[in-house]
Parts: sequence; C-alpha cells; structure tokens
Amino acid sequence: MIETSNAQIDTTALLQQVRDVVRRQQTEPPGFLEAGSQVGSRVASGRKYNRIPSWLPGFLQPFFRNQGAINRQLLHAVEQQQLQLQSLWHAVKCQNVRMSELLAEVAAMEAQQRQLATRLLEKLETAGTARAVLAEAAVELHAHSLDAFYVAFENQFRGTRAEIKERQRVYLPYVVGRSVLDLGCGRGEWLELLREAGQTASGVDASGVMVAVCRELGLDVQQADAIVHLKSLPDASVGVVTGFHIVEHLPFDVQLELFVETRRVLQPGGLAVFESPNCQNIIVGACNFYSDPTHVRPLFPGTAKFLLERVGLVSVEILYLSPAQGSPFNLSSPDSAQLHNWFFGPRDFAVIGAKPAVAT
Amino acid sequence: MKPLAIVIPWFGRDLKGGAETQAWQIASRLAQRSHEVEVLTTCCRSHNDDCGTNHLPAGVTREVEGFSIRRFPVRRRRRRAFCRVCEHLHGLPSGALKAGVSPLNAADAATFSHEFIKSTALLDYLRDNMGAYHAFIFMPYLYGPVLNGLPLVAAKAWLQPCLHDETCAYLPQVTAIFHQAKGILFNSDGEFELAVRLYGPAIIPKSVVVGEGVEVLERTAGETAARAVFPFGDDPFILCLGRKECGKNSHMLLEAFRAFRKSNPVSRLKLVFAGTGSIPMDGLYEQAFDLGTVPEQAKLALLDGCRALFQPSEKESFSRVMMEAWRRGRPVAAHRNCLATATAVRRCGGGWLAGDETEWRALFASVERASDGDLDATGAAGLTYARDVADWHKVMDRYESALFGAMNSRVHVVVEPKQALHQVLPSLAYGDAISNFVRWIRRTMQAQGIVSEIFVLHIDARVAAECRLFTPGCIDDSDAILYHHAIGSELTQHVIAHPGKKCLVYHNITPAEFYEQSHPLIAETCRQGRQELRLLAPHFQVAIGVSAYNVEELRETGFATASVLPLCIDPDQWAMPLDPHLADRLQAGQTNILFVGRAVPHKKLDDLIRLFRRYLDFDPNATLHLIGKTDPDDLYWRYLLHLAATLNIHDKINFAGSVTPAQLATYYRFAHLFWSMSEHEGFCVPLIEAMWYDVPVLAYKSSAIPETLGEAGMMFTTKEDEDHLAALAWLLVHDSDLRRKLIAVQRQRRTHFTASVVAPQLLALVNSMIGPTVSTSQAGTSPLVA
Repeated sequence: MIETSNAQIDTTALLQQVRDVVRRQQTEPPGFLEAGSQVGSRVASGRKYNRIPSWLPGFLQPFFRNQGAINRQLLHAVEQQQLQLQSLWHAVKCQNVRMSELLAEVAAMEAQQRQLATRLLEKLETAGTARAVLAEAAVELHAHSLDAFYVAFENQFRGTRAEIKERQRVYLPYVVGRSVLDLGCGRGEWLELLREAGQTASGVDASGVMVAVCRELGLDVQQADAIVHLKSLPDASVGVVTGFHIVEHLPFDVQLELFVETRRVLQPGGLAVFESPNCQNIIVGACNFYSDPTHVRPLFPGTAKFLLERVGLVSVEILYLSPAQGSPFNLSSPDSAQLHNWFFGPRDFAVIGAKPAVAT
Repeated sequence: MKPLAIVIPWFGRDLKGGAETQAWQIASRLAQRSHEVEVLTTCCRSHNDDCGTNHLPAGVTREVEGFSIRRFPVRRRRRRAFCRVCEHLHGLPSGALKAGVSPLNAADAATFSHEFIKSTALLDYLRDNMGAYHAFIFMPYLYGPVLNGLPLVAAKAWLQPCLHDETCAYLPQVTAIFHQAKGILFNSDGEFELAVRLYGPAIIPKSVVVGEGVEVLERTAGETAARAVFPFGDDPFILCLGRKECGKNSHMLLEAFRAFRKSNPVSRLKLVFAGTGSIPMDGLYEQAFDLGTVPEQAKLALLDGCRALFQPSEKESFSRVMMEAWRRGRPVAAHRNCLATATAVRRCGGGWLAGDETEWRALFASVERASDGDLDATGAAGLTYARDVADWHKVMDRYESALFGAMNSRVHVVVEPKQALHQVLPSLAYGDAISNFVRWIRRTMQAQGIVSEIFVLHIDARVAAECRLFTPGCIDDSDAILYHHAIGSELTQHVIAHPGKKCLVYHNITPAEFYEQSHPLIAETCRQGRQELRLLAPHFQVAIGVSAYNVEELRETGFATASVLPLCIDPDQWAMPLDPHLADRLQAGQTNILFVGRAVPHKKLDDLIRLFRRYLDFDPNATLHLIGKTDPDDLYWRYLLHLAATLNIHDKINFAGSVTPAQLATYYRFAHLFWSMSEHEGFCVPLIEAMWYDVPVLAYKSSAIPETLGEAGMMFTTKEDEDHLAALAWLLVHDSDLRRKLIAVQRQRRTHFTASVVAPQLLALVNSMIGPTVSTSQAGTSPLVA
C-alpha cells in the first residue's frame, strides 16, 4: 500500500507502525494519541524571557532586572507545574490502562464466581440428598446393628434353643387351655413348645431379626415393642401373658407399666408369668448378669412378687429354677447350705400371678 | 575594487559583545587579505551605555589592522515612547511569540525601529554614497542603522544577523530586511534553520553559512602545569564552560549530575564548571567543582583533559566553546532544542543530544561507560567539522567568495536574439501553475534581452500588465511561438496557420471521464482538446511536456520528438511577510492538513474529505485546509460542502478557495502535512511548493505524481484501506523521526526545479528555436556587480 523511493524509509517497518497506530486508536479513547504531546510544548517557548535582552540599553537594564527575576521565577514555577501535570497525566494514563485491566479481571472473576456458585449449589443439593440417604442408612444400620448382635449373643450366652425349650416345659401346666401372648418371644422356643402342645399362642418382639427367625418357623409373631403392643390390646383379652427374661431389660417405671398393662389385658383368672435371672445366686447377680450388656439391673424375686401384688394380681408365687450343677457344698450344714445357695442356688426365678376371677 | 562597508551600531577594539568581536575579526582579516574595509558605525561607546549619547568623536580613524572606522553621531530619541515600547516588549507573556505575527502593533514597531540608535547622519551617508562601495555588510539584525539602513542599499546589502530566537526577531521590519537583502551570512547551520523558519524559504537561495572562526592556541608546557593543580587530580571529568546562569541551563545540568551520582555512588566521574557566575553545589562536595574564571592555559588544559564537553544551553546562535572543544578533538553534548548547537552535532556526529534532565543524566552514564577510543572517534568527527566551519581561513574564504565571487544562483546564459519568441495560450489567469510558468518564461527571456510577449484570448485583471489580447496578425510571421496547449480553443487554428517556428508546450488535458457526471460541457471540451492534439502533431517541429508523463501522451498522439521541460518553482516568489491574522489562527495548536489545487473532480477532494473524516478519529484537533481556485456556484464545490455537512465535519474543514500569495505562503508555513488524493496530474506544482516549506507530502500514486516526487515520494497505491491511510497520515504528522527522514530527502528534491536548474533547459530550447547564430556561455561575473 505504501510506496516510496526514499532509501531511508523501510516500508515494511512503516506499515507495521501504521498497523500499531490503528490498533491503538481502536482500543484507546479518542484524542488519546495526541493529548500527551501537547502538554509542555507551549511553555518551552517562554524560556526566551529568562534573560535581559542584549539589545536593551544599559541604563534600562536595572529597571528590568527585578521584572526579569520575577518572570524567571514565575516561569520556573509554571514549568514545574507543567512537568507535574505531564507526570500526572502519564500516571493517569497508566492508571487508566491498569483500571481497564483490573475491570476485565474483575469481570472474569465475577463470571468465575457465578460459575462456582452454581456448581456449589448443585453439589450441596447432591450432598444434602446424600446426607439424608446416609442418615437414613445410618439409623437403620444403628437400629438393626444391635439386632444381629443380640442374636449372636443369645446364641452364645443364653443357651441353645433346645435347652431353653426343655426348661420352659415346666410352665406348660400353667397355661393349659389358655391363649398365650409371649412378650419378647426372642427365638420363639416357648411359642414352639406351645404349638407342639397344641396351644394357641402369639408373640411380639422388638427385634426384626428375632421376628424373622420366628416367622421362619411359622410362628405367629409380630415386631413390636411389648408395652406398645399391650396398650393396643383391649381389656381382658388375653388368657396368659408371659415374658421370659424381659423385665431385667427394663427400667423400674417401665417394669411397672408392663405389670399394669399386663393386668389390664388379662382376662379374669388369667395368668402373668415373668421369668428373670435370680440375683440371690451371687454368681448370677454379681457376675453373670452383666454378661448381657443390655441388662439394666436384676429384679429381686421378692420385689417382683411385691410388684405383681401391688398392681392387683393375686396368688402370686415364685418359682425357682435352673439350679447350678457341680456344687461342692454340703447341704446338710446350714453354713454350707447358705454357701451353696449363694453360689450354686437357682439361677432363674419366675413370678406367676393371676388376675382375680371377678373384678375387684 | 571599491571598498567593502561593515555597518554595525557599536564598534571598538575592546568591545566584548559577540557581534562586535566578530565584526572586528572580519574587518581585520579582510584587511589582511588586502581588501579595503571601512566600518560605518556610531559614536556610541557600548551597549551598556545610553544609546542617545555620543561618547566617541565623529569622523574617520584608521586602525593598525588596516581598516578604517567612520563614526556618525546619534540623536536623542523620544525616550518616553521608546521606553513604553521596551516595557511592553519585555512584559509579553511566554508563548505569545508566533511566527509571522508581530509582537508589536505597527506604530510601536515603527517607533522601536526608528528610535533604537537613531543616526540620521549614518542613514544619509548610506543613501548618498551607495555607489562608492562594492558591498555592505549589516550586522547584527537589529537596531536603527541596520533596520533603516539596509533597505537604502538593498541591492548591495548583505545581512549578518547573529540571530537568536527572541522577541525582536518577530518584528515585521526584521522580516523585511531579510527579504530585501541581496544575501545573508549565517554563523551556523542552526541559525540558518531558524531564519528559514521565521522568514520563509525565499531566503534559502541567497543564504550562505560562513561560520565563525575560533582562534586556536598552540599547545604549551603551561598546560601540563595547569593540569597538575586541578583539585580533582586524575579523575575523569565532564567539562562545562561558559557563563553559569539559569538561562544557560547550568542548574539543570547540576541537578542531572546529582541524580546521576545518586544512582551511581561508586562512579569516579566528576563535573567541572569554569567561567563567570556562580552556582550552588551543596551535596556534591568532591564530585562537582566550580573553578570560576580560569586563564587561557588552564582552559585549554581542561579541554584537553575532559572526557566530553557538555553545552546544555538553549540560547546559542553559535557556540564558541563547542567549537573550541571540537578543535581539541573532544566530543560535545548539546541541547536537543537549541537549533544552532543541535544542528551542528547532528550534521557532523561529533557528540550527542539531550533534552530534559533525565536525558542528561543518562548521558553522564553513557559517557562514563564509553571507551576512550569511542570518545576520541566522536571527537574526531567534531574536529573535522570544526576545522571546516570554525577555521578562520575557511570562514574568510567563504566571505570572499560570497562578497566578491560568483555566488549567485541566477543563470546567465548569454543569448543573442535573432527573433522574438512569443507565448500564446487561451487565457492567462492569476495563481495557477500554467500561468505562473508562462509569466516566469517571459521574465526569464526578457532578462536575457529577448523580445517576448504573452498573447491570450482572456485576460485576468491582476496580470493584465503582463499580457496582450490575441488578435489575428498580432504576431509577425517570422517570430517564433511557444503555444501552451491545455484545452481546446479557437486559438488552435491560428497557431496551426502560423508559418514561423512553433513549439507546443503540453500541460495535459484532463481525461473527459472525470467530468462526465458533473460537468458534461467541460468533458466535451476536454475530449475536443485531445482530438485537436492529434491534429496539431504534424504542425509542430518541437514539442515539450512538463513531465515525462505528459511527454508520453505527446508521443502517443504523434509528437515523435517530444522532450521534457519541467516547471520552475523558485522560492523567491515568497519573499513577502506572512499574513499575520492567518498566521495567528493557524498556530492555535491544531494540526493543519493542507491541499492546494483547484476544486475539480479529478483532484478528488471528495475522497480527501472522506479520508479526513477518518483521520479525525486519530487526531480530533485537526483542520483540513482546501486552497485553490473555486467558483462558489460550481456543482462540484457545492457537492464538497454538502459532503462535509453530511459527514458532520463542516467546522473542521476550511474551504478557503482562492487566497493571496501571502496567505498561500502562510498556509504552507504552518501546514503539518500536504495530502493529495488526486487521480490526474500533469505535474502538480503544490507538491514541490510544500517541499520548500518542509511540509511532508503524502500523495496517491497516479499520473505524473511519482515522477514529480522522485525519491522524495511518500505515496499510497490504494484508497480502500481507510484505517491504514489515516494512521499513516497521523504518523507523518506526529513521528518526528519519520518527518525528519522525509524532509531531508524533500530538501534535495526541490532543488531540481529551481530557476538555476530549469532556466538553462529553457534557454537551450529557446536557442534551438530562434536560430543557430546564438551562443551560450556561463557568466563568470555577476551581472549585479556595479
């Protein structure tokens, strides 16, 4: 586009300069290219007045010397101002450039921030959902972690199903011809026994695992809390209420509630049977009782009887069961007998009470 | 040989002023060369004394050096009026000085020039005795005797202005003497540059840079002894000689040095001042020294021992100390803004330039770093230059050749006329290129004693004195004719019928297609003109075109022997003061873009206006000036006005139209760029006119433009790329490096079209036409010698 035969001018370099100027004009405000050069160019011409002109006659010079001094100082001051203005202008120019850079950065950062915020929200939602899911899972896990534990525990510590069934035969005569409700039926040994004996029986247990086990055996079992279940039953609707090794798991107020509800639901003449570890056997009461971490405290047999009588059951008797084998003590002497009772006495007891035949 | 006169207000052996000591040297040395010299001066003693008092006796005295002094008494001046004017001058605000604009009104200027050293006796003597002297040298440029005396003997007057850029230089009386003087003698290239800026290119052909001699003292043993007692021992140092004052920038230099030492604490470089005046040096103990006034031997020892001389002053017309340093082979640093010193440094490369304090500080560092070899080489360049410029022998040689030799640029080909040679053309106008050329030819031929008239069909009143109305039979059959053909006319058949020698001068006919849309009649005339050209071919023995482009067209139309005679553009046509009001307006700080040319479609002013609109995006404070003959009712002109209004830049365009020569000179003087979009030119005179005013030229490459521009061309080949074109124009206005390169070559190109180059070609043509009995020879003496 440019053509010159001037040997000193490089057209390629000139064209590049031209392109630079076009680019600058398009990115900077109008008049920007020119502004800086005008500042300061005017004042330079005033320097002529810094001295007394040589042509001025000698006698006039003193007259103008002071004026000259003032002019000089004024000019100097103006020049300084101009210089300051120039440097200020330059600084402003740099600031403007920096400003636009910063604004661009800020815009980019804002865009990025918006992006991040959106993603964060999404993630939070996902996390919330996840947490809810996790929480549910945790609850479930927690709730049923014990179930499995207890099954395993009982299998280890309580004894086998066969053993339990054998021991529980002793109660069969008490419940003949009556419908039985077994609270905390566990592995369902008593219910099985009753079925074999041709008795109608149903059970409840809070553990889903226990319920599943019982149902496997075809037993009529529901998963429910014992007291909640009792409360759901109408008055005098059950012939027999049994609870094997449940009361030691309950705090005192709940034990009372259990007994109260039991009495309510029993038909007149109905029976309540509760078996629990006998703490009069010291080994049981001070040691083995604590093998089950879910035991609260031993229920003293005398206290159990007292409680049943308090809630209105009559003819309350205590049965002592499961003596320990291998006692070294001689039962003939009272001291030995005492020792025997303490260390090898019955390990369980049951308290049996009846609802009065007529309402009292 | 008649004596030479030097006219100077004060003169005396022991006077200390710059011009006075120089005048003493010139008078002595010219006398030594056996010239008779008489100094015409006043009875005033010195410029410190009252210039209305005659301290010295009137009359003639003879000095031992061999010249005489003639003193004239002065009269008392009108003190109150003069003092008032002086006060006003001195109180002018800075920046009030503008080239072409007088700082005083006419009455005050007249008072100033009349009352400042009033010697009517001297003026009367000049008037009465002009014939008794060979030539007069007036110096300096100011004071009554010079301002009023020079015009009285202008034909023999040489001016040695000792010019500074100061208020008085802008007075119209000063401008007048620069134009009236026969020749001008300058002390330095820088001073010459300044004068051209102030007074225009008309002074260029008659200017001579004689230089000023600097006495060289021989080396003596005393120098070594002097060196030994310098307080800075053997440490390298920068020297600053001369009076220390604010105006000489001594303080600025000291501050720059202080800043340099702060950032270079381990440097051993010292700064040494020597000369009158004082300068506070606190904080630079052991680093900067002020030796005060020193004897010559010590000064020479300082010059020899310094690494470089720094001359930071901006108020020099010729720096003696700079020359002294160069004579000793030491490099020099000068101030970028001082034309006299900076031009010298640029010219010879004997040093460096610096502007503000930062640049001087950097210069300290680079001088310290430079090797001794580099410094010596730089100094050697200065030495060569100084030996040429500041050597008294060479200086006096130049004086002699200027005053007594054939320095004239006028050609003096002696022609013995056998017949008359007349010019014939349809109309002679005022101001257009063809008419100017025709008038110049007439002047040149008449100066040679050839009978030559201009015959036209239409006369413009302003040039009526130079031409005659053409009537059949007005030209003798034996006379020769120079027929200028630019457009068809009824003259053609008469010219064809002329039996005598005929030469066709072809100025090019605009191709008709440019006028089709707007001026169908003119288009038709153009077509006719081209057709006529074909018809003319067999009838002309000689044909010339003002450019090779034109000659090419001539050859195509059947003129087998066509040759080129370029137009003559001589700067002395601008020996006139500028238009002050216009000068004031044009120096308001805006960028001035100029185009000179008639407002006709092929010059494409509409393209220029459109592109100017784009240029304004780069440089909002710009004005486009359109100068050239126009007709306000013309369709194209109205179109241009409408276009400017549509683009909403009507206030940025000066539709100046026809202007006076002074106004044209003013437009050229203050233009920053000459921009042509023309698509058809036979020569394009304004391109060269712009070059005389150092205005960079940017032109669309078409027709004869590349040929006229030659190596000075900056052209573009396409108008499509508006962005790049506007940016290029912006660069040409604002990039000082690019401008300098372009102007340097333009200054060479413009000399191809001066009278001294074109006149011989014209006269050779004339010789060929009016007979073989003519002889040509270059004159050895100036015809202007009395």
